Amino acid sequence: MDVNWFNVAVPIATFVLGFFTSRFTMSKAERKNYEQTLYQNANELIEKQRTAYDDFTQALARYVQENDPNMDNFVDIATTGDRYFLHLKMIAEATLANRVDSIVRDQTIIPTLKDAIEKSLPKYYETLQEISRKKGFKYDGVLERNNYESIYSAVEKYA
Amino acid sequence: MADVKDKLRLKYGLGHEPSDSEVREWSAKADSLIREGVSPEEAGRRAARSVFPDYDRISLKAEADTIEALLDAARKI
Repeated sequence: MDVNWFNVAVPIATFVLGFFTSRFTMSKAERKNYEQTLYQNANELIEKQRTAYDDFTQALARYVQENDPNMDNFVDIATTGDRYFLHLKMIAEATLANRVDSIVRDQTIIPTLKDAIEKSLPKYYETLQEISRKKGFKYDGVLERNNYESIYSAVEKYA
Repeated sequence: MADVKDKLRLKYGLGHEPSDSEVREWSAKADSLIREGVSPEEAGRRAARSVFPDYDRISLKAEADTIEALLDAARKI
């Protein structure tokens, strides 16, 4: 009886374990593909964010160069700035979901996100509020952590 | 060569000026990737990432500083 049980159990165990290991581990080639995908994800996100950064800094530079900047120049800053920080948020979300390469995450993404919450993000809101008061432009943006929660969470998790 | 080094440093945000041998290694790797069918832009980036240990360090680090400086300038107007 014991022998029969053994004869049945071994193939089942082999099948089940084989199934599990094939599901939960990757071959060398699969791992390499997976890593390449993560690297590409990170690069694509960074490329998009670079474009948003260029748009934002160009809008700021235009405002600075105007002799008498108007509401349109101000709205340009607010629109491109919001988009820039939204891109950072998307990068943070992808990072938290482990969809980016870990080296790019540690060397590039996290330092950038950390700089944003320590420097550019608070200064962005502060400056827009100050300009709107001074020039009489309508602006009611306020920095709230919950609007950028993923950026703060990614920095807290990986920095 | 000096011009190429400077361009590489700026384009890939390197924290140091690449040496002659690094430039040669980068060029050989990029070239072989292009021959494999990778687009030149992507080949250059991949080669830079594998050859230069400080790839992309400077440009991104400077992002927040540039934004801060521009915001400061806008505030003064």
